[in-house]
Amino acid sequence: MQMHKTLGDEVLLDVRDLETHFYGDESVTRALGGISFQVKRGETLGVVGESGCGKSVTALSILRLLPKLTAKTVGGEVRFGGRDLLKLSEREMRGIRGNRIAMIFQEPMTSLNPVYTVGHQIAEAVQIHTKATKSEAMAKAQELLRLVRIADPERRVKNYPHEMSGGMRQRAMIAMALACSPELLIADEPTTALDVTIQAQILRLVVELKERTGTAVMFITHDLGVVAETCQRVIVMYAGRIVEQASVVDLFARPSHPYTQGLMRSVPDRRRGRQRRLPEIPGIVPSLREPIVGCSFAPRCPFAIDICREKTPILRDVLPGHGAACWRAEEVMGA
Amino acid sequence: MTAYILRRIVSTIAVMVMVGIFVFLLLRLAPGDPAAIIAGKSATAEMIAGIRERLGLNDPMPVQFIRWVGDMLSGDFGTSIFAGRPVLELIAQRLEPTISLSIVTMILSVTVGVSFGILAAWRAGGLVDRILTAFATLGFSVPVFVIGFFLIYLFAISAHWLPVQGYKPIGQGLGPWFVHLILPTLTLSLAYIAFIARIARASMLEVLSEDYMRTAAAKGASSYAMLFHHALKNAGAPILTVIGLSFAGLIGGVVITETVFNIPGVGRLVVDAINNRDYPIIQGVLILVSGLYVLINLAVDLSYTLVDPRIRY
Amino acid sequence: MTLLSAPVETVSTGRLQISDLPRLARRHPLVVIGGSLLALMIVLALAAPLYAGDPLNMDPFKRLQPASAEMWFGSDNLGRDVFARTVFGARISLIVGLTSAAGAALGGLLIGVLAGYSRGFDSIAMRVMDGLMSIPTILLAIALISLTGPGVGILIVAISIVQLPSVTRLVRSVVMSVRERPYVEAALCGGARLPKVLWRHILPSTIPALMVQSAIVCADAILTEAGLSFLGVGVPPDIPSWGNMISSSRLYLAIAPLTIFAPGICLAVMVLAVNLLGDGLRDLFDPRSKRRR
Repeated sequence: MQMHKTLGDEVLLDVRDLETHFYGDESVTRALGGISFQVKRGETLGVVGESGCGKSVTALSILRLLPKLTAKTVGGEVRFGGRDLLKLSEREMRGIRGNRIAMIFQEPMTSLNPVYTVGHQIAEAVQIHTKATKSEAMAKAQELLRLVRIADPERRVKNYPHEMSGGMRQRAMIAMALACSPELLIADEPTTALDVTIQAQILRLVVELKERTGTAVMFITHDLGVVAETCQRVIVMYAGRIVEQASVVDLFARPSHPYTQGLMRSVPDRRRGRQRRLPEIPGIVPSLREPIVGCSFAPRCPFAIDICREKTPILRDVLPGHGAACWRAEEVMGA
Repeated sequence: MTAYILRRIVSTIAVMVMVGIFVFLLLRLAPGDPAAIIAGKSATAEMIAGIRERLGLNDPMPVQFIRWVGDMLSGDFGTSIFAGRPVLELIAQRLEPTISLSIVTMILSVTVGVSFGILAAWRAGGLVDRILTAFATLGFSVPVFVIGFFLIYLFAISAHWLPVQGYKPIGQGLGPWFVHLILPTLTLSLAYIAFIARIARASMLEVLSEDYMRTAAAKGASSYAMLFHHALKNAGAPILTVIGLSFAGLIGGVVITETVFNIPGVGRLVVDAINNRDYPIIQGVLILVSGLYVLINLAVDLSYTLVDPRIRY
Repeated sequence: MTLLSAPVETVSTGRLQISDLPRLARRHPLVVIGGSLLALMIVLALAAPLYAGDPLNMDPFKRLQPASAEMWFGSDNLGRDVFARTVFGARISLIVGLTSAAGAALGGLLIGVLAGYSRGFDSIAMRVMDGLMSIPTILLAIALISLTGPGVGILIVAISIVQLPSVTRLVRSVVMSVRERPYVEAALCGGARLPKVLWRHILPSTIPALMVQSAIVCADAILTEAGLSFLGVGVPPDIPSWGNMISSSRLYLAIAPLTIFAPGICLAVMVLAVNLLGDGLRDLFDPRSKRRR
């Protein structure tokens, strides 16, 4: 792979063979089956896939926010700023969360604490990581609300979450995430729960803020349309693995995995609102409780041949900088 | 908001009227003529008739009921049949030990119980949690008086560390008062701690799985801030409700504990009143205790407005 | 018609097979432990005359004796055999606990179903229950017992009444949620008469919650009986009950601790058994509760 080394190519986050398991009463679910990818400084990486493919688990594994009793990252590395986040103490990890890596979530309605004012909650993020006093932090909170285009921030800092609309709450969440100017912002489906018009506003806001602050963004979504608008590079996930990885332009020009092609055929009409399921791809996502033999997409794949059901394809470059985990990627690309 | 408070007060009054009817009927349903009970065994027919007239027992029931309620509202809870003194005065004399025992127990149980509950929820499924669950099941199963005698046997009879029983008024010094309260309070608290810990654990577990807890974690908040700042304020309301509702159970425990430790409180007064068939005392205590219970729960409900900004009635 | 109107749930669940039992027992050990402990105590109580001495026989020459081969738990202040009294005392606890639980369950079921169905009755019944609930159980029981004086019968009635509100509220809430279900509406629209719908569709769905609540009520009833007897207002003193035994021996705690701890520990074990059974049943009927608890 040819790489032109520029400042913009500096690797910020380097995930290698990340493997996360969920533990049920009598079963183990391999939610992440060893995934590797990088986020470069200042870039926007899209992470796409259906519900349950492991997108959110990836984000939570990076920040080590998985539920302690039921989930565990069992292998791999998450290198960030020269250190493996998986090896940090809980205390060191707290210094990273909200400070150098921030996250916004899917559900703005429930992601803010109902008993504290929005200003208080943003100020808290400031105070955890800086020596700011309470009033300095509140002033900062006001400034951040202005940054995310909330009208009348002087009044809004004193609002409780229930006094705000969904879109406004998501803006407040973004303000909270940006409180300490993080180097990486993980946005986990930040617009899914919102109205279509509000979705567009929030997307524009994220793109604009990203350009203004230079923060890198990992944008998790099930919507390829969102990816096309916001991202530079994309990884496509299926059943806990990365099946395709490319620049946005390449991906749309030459999708090389049958699953990606399926996704593209089912890009939801954004005017008709959200759509999570992909009716165009027949079949269902395999259970991750049993070990999967062969390619996990094979049962749904129109291209599947014998080898697909026997050996698991690994992610390989089919074009420079364009990887796909498919035995027949070259043929798929041309199809 | 005002409408809610008004509605809540009206329903409180309705419940109290209900309690009033029960308690009123109690004396009327008792076998035998109330006047004859009051007059005693050696009374003549004329004396009983006189008492009937004086107490207005010949009037229709609703009239009697309203008069009875009116008397209580003006502070007259009747006269003890046995002691011949006003019921309110007899209760007032017995109030201090009962209140001391209840309040110290409440403070101990709430602080220890809520702390245990939080600890167990924080590491749900862990060692503390399992020990606590076992302790809670045990705490529900061992009767108060068995715990009481066990503690007396251990700390008073065998070890001689603490007095076996009795009560010293707080006026005679804080030290003796406290020393005499240690065992009764512990006795009464064990089951209560188990109960509150279980409730606190359940409420905390519910709150800990909320999305905003994940947001707080993603901010880099410490475990302490997560538990006490973010979770407890949300879990507080349900915990408070249950503590308020459990007050009725506490009183039952107080009655038994007073007997175990020979504490001359309101509980003893009631038990002695039963043996003497002293209905006015039983009625007075029932009305006052239920009134207190209803008021506590009213206060709990209204205090929600302070904790949770979402409540706009 | 009858087949069609059967609720979907019971059809799909199917009957419990004997072969399922070992698996269920393994998954719900609490039911097994609590249930067998309780069964053991019932058998021991029923068989008491076969192996225990006379619980009422007084022997002034053998007062407050320590444990011996003749009297396993020693004797009390009147020279009665503590072991025999403890074994026979289980009978009272069981009778009062089980009958009060049954009484409260039946009464609560009746009132709860009616309240869940009739709005007018509901508002009256619930006000009465609110009133009952705001009087501490022991005090209410004491007040009811004061009407007739101590006795096993009034004790059972009093404890049943005291426990009525919790069962009633539970049944009422189940009925209110079930009656909106499609199969109930369908049965009613299909011309089935209300009593029949209540019997076939609504009653069965209250059973799981009712069983769990009955166990809780039973444990509480056993504790209340013991408490009242201990206070001297429960079972008449001539009947050996655990509460009475502890009450009459409390002055001798220092000399003969077994007179108190033998019935005390039995009492705790019996209540524990019933509580475990109740907890286990709840897990069995509502698997989600297992994590929460």
